[in-house]
Amino acid sequence: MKKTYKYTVLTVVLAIVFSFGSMAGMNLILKARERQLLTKSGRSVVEVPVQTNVGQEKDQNFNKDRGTLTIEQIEKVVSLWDEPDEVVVHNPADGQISMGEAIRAGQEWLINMGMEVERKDNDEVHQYATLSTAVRESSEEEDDNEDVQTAPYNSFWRVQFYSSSLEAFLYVNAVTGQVWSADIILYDDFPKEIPSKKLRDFVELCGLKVSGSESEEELWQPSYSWMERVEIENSKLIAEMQFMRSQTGYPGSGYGKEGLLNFRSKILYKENVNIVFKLSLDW
Amino acid sequence: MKLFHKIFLCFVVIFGITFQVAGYLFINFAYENAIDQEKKIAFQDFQYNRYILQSILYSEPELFTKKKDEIAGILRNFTVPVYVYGLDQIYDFTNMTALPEEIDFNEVEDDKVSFQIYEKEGENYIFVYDYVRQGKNELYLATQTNISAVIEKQKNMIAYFQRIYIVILCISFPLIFLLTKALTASLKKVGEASRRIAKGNYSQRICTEGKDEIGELALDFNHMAEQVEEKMAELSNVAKQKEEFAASFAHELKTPLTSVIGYADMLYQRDLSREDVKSAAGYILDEGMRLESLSLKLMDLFVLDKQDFLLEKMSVEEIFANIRLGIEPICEKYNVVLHMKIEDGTVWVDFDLFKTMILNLVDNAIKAGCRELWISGRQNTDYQIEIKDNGKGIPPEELGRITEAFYMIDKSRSRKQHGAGLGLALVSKIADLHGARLEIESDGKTGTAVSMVFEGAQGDWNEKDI
Repeated sequence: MKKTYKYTVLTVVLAIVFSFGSMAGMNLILKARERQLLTKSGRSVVEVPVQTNVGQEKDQNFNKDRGTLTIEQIEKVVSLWDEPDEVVVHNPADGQISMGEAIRAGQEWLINMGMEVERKDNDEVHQYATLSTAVRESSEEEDDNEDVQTAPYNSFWRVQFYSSSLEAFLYVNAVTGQVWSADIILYDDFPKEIPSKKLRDFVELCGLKVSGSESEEELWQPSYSWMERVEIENSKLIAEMQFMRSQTGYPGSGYGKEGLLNFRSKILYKENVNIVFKLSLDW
Repeated sequence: MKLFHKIFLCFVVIFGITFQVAGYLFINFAYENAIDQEKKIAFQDFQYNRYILQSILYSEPELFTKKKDEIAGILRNFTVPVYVYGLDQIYDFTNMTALPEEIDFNEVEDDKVSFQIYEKEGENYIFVYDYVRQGKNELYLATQTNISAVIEKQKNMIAYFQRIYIVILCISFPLIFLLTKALTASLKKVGEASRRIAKGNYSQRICTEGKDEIGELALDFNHMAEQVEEKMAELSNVAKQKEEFAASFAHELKTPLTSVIGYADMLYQRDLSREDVKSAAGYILDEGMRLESLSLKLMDLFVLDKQDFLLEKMSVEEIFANIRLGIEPICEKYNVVLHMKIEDGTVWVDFDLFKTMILNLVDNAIKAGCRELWISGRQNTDYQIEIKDNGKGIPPEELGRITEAFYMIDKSRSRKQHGAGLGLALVSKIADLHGARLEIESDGKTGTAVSMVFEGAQGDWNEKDI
């Protein structure tokens, strides 16, 4: 019996030693692996998630008709960009416009829409442009989207302009150079009336046509905001414009550009106007 | 070391190795995935900030001719800490707090970027850098992405895994210990039962419940115990028989010797008349012949036990043609009418033993006082030989013991005829050796019929061992 007892104690001791020994061993191996992973260096290929020459007509001249897209292609791209799972920044691929071309396209669009970036003399203007494409995990119903996701026309230049009187975020299509979405904040030179005509200008600049039916327009007009939408001819697309007037701080003497110092909260009163143009799908 | 110790240790070793290996693989996979994700994010950060730098240089190509503090102001536009190093001009500026020890800038314009993962002052970073060209400007841009939070999460995961391991060990150790003890308890029962059987308790059995290997072992053990018990009973019987044999033999030896010694002593001590001397000598002769017959038959029995015999395929007709020559004179001498009808056939026999057997049976029949003797042989699938007489017969209640050595129904008659009670024992033994079935039938009044069934000889071979 004594021998059995001794063996039992020995067994338990060995088991404990082995259990904790294996744990310590694994910790050592993991630490070594961690050191290996955390001191890695090298060169990696930056994948460009875009194929070239997919479903477009190529045209090198910026000012003339660029590669034109079909309505179906536009609809698919708009659908992807409405709810992407991921937005991937990438280098320009063949068939896509350069950064300079995108910035110039943005500037032209603002001029055509009557909202020039430079309003005042010596107004410092900053501009940035990044190229990205939208990615969505495809399900069984969306197998078509796999081609669209890798198409060059699925990429957009996000062109940003900053000045003292204006901030603009424009989405310029990387193939057509058209602005399909714009978010503009004006700090100065507010429009005297709601620029409803601008929506049709926006649609025209996208190379599309408004559907002829007047009754499809929707108007929503609370006191400080307004929304309009129009249908695009022969498609499921709609163009929307949102107009919003807002202020920070407490309202001073009406609608003006001078800020009044608010003695109670000490927040400088400032007004701005936010105008958003976008294409989306009419479900 | 007991079996349950070994099983327990094996389990602990296997469990420990499996758990740790699985844990390592899982954690390594998660770690690699996490770092790959962070690399992806770092590359995206780099791409994004590269565009910012290129946008700035697009608007202000002469940016780097400005004063350093003005240039430093542009660093606010970047989303992560950056390091800008110009190739043509001697400028570099950064808002990074912890640069890596070595940075290897290579002037290559390709679709690859360089990266370096490093630790500094307790924080982990991914440093991504590449050559950038915008207009006439050529420079290197590097971005820094802090991945310390992710690394911290991985370390927490490792610690959590180890805690789970310890908890599972604490729970499973006693469970496994008890389980292995329970499993090996059944084996212990087998050991205990074996020890009781070894001490002589042959009726010991194990209760079987499960149908697993232990249950099968218990069943096999019980079966073995049954066989042991039967063999022990058999051995016990054999030992008893041998004891009885020895006792009977001693008695059968003592009886004639007593008479011989008695009469010899009488002849030696006294002066007897011629007739008394003749009578005494006659008794001595009778007992001597009985002893001689006893020793010859004992010798036969002994030889039958020890020797290997070779059976031959022989014609029954030929065998009995030969035996007839020995039987007829005896029958003539005792006025017994012999009827012999033997069908042709072949049997496997040792001729000498077979002859001894037939002669013993004939001898018994004549000693039983028969007037007629029938010997027949019939071939069916086997070969049946029957020896029938019309002597005194054997009482039916004695038939069970008639083949025991030294057993005599009528001892006085047998001794008078120099019998020792070994004849039928010899016949039985010879029949066994031939693989024949021996049957003795009698009503105790009208005679006895002894039949022997021999296996028919088939096949091409002529000899076989028994």
